[in-house]
Amino acid sequence: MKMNRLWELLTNNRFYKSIFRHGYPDDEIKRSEVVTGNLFLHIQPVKVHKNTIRTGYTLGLGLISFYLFIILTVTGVLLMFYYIPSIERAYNDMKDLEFAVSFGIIFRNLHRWGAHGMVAFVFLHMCRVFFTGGYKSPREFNWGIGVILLILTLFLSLTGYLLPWDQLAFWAITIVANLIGTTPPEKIMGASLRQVVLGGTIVGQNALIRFYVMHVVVLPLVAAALIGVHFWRIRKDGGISRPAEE
Amino acid sequence: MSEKDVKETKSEITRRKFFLFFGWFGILSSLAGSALGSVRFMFPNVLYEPPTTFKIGKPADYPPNSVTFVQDQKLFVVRGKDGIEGIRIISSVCTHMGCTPKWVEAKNQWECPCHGSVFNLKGEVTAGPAPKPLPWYKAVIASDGKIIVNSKDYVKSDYQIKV
Amino acid sequence: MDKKEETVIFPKNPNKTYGLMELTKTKSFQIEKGPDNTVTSWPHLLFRELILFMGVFIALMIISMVFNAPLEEQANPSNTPNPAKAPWYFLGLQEMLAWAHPFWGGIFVPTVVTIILILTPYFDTSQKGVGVWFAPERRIANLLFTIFIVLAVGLIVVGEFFRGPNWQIFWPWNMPSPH
Ligand code: HEM
Ligand code: FES
Repeated sequence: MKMNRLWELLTNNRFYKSIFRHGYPDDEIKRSEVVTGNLFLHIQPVKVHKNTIRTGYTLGLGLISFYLFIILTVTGVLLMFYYIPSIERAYNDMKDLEFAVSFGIIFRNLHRWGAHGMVAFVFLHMCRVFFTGGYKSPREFNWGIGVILLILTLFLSLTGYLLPWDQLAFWAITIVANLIGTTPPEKIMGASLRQVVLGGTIVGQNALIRFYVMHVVVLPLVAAALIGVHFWRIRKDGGISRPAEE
Repeated sequence: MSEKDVKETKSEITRRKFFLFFGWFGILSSLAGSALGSVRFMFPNVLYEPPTTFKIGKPADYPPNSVTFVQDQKLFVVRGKDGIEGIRIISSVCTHMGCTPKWVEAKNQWECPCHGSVFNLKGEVTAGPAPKPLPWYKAVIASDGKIIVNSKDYVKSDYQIKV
Repeated sequence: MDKKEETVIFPKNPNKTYGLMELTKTKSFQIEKGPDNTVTSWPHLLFRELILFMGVFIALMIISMVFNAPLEEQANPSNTPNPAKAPWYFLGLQEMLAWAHPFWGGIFVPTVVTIILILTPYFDTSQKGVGVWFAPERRIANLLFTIFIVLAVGLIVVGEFFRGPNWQIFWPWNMPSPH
C-alpha cells in the first residue's frame, strides 16, 4: 500500500503528466501510447508478431550488437576527455587513464572489450540471419546495409587500434597502410590511397590525427545513421522474418 | 494537329525544361565540385617528415665484417660482408608490409618477423612473401668525414664506399 | 446527425484531440480475420529488450573488472615485435598476406567476399525455408555459408594460435614466448 501511495505521489502531478501523457500501461491503448508517445521507442511497432519475441529465433544477436554500439559511444566519449591525439602524449594519456584517472581503467576496458565483442556479435548476427534465411526478399536491401555495417564495425575497430600508440598499434597500422598501398595500379592508386590514409608517407602524427577523426566522428556518425536505416527497414520489410503462416 | 506538329512539340525545349535542366546541372556540378575539392584537401602539400638525405656518423663507427642497425634512419650499415670490403647501406624496411627484419649473424641473412620473409646478403628474397629485394642506398663521404645517405637513390648491391 | 446525438453515440475521449468526421458503411479491418498472433510491444518486447541490455551491460562490466585491456610498450618504429600480430579479427587477412602478393590476400579476396555477400539475396531468391533455423530446403545455401565461416574462422585460429616468431607454424603448446 505504501508503494501505491508513493507511485501516486510521483506520477499524479502536472510535471510527470507533462512528460508521460498516459497512465500506467495496463490496457491496450495505453500500451500503444508507451511506444507511439516516445521518440526513442516509436521506431518499433505497437504490436509485434509472436515470432519476433521468440528468444530462440534471433538469439538477440542484432540487439546485443546495438547495445554494444551504445556502450562504446558512451565510454568512448568519456575517454575523449583525457586522450590527446598527439604522438608525444597519446601513450602517456593511456597510462594516465590506467593509473591516474578514477575508474579510467574500467572505462578503457569497457571500451576495448566492448569493441571486440561488437565485432564478434555483428558476425554472429550475420550468421543468424543467413541460417534462418532472413536475408531473402523483401529483406535483400537490409542485408546489404548489414554487410556495410559489418565493414564499418571492422573499420571502427581498426582506427581505434592505432590510438594508444603502443607497439601493437604502430605495427598493425604499418601493415594495413602498406597493404592499402598494394591496390593496383600500385604507383598511382596504391600510392595515393596510402597517402590519404596516412596523411603523408610514414606512420606519424598525420596518420594519428586522421585515424582519430575517423574513429571518433566520421565512422560513428555513418554507423549510427546506417543502424537507423537498418532498423527502419526492418519495419518497412514487415518485421523480423518468420515462417509463412497457413 | 498534323503528325509533324506533335513531333515538334515533343522535342521542343520549353522555358520550363531549360531552367529545370540548368537548375539540376548547377546543383549537381556544385556538389561534384565540392566533392573533388574535399578529396584534394585530404592530400597535404607540405609534410613535416624526417629528411631523406642524412648523415649517419663516420666509417670508423662501423667495424669491419659487421652489420649494424641504425635505428633512427631505418637502415643497416654493412661492412666487409659478401666479399665486398667497403661500406654499403641497405634499407631496414621490409618490402612486403614494412616491418623491420632482424639480422641473423649465424645464418648471414635478414629475417622478417611479420610474415617470415628472408633476405640474403645481397638483399634478395630467399623465402617468404616479400615481392622485392631490400634496396641499397647511395652514400658518399661528406667533407666532414661523415657518411651521407640518400634514401631516395637506390644503387646495386655491390655499390660501396671504399675505406 | 446533430452535435448532441454524436456525443451520445460516440462519447468524447478527453485524452484525444480528434473528433468524428464522417460515418460510412463498410466492414472493420478486424472482421472475418482470425487471431493475428501478435502481442503488444509493451511489455512483451520492450521488457525483454531491457533485460537483455542489463545482461549485456553486467557481463561486459564483469569482464572489464577482471581483465585489463592490453597496452604494450610505446610505439617504436625501429623495433618490430616478433611476431607482430594484428587484432584477432584481422588475423585471417594477415594469414593470407603471408601466402602470395599482398594484393590478393589483402585487397582482392576481401573485396570479392563483400560483393558476393551483398549480392547473395539477389541470386538466392527462393522463398522456401524462410524463418526457420537450418531449414532442410536451404541445405545447399547453408552448406556454402558454413564453408565460408569455417574458412574465415579457421584462418583466424591458425593466425592466433599456430603462428609464432617469424610467422612460422608452431603447435600452441610449443609456442616460444615472445622476446
Ligand atoms: C552494427 C551492426 C548491426 C546492428 C546494430 C544490427 C541490428 C539488428 C537488429 C536489432 C535486428 C533485429 C533482429 C535481431 O536482433 O536479430 C537486425 C535484423 C537484421 N539484420 Fe542486422 N544489425 C547489424 C549488422 C548486420 C549485418 C552485418 C547483417 C548482414 C550482413 C545484418 C542483416 C540483418 C537483416 C537481413 C535483418 C532482418 C532479419 C530478419 O528479418 O530475420 N545486420 N539487425
Ligand atoms: S612485412 Fe616482412 S614479411 Fe611481411
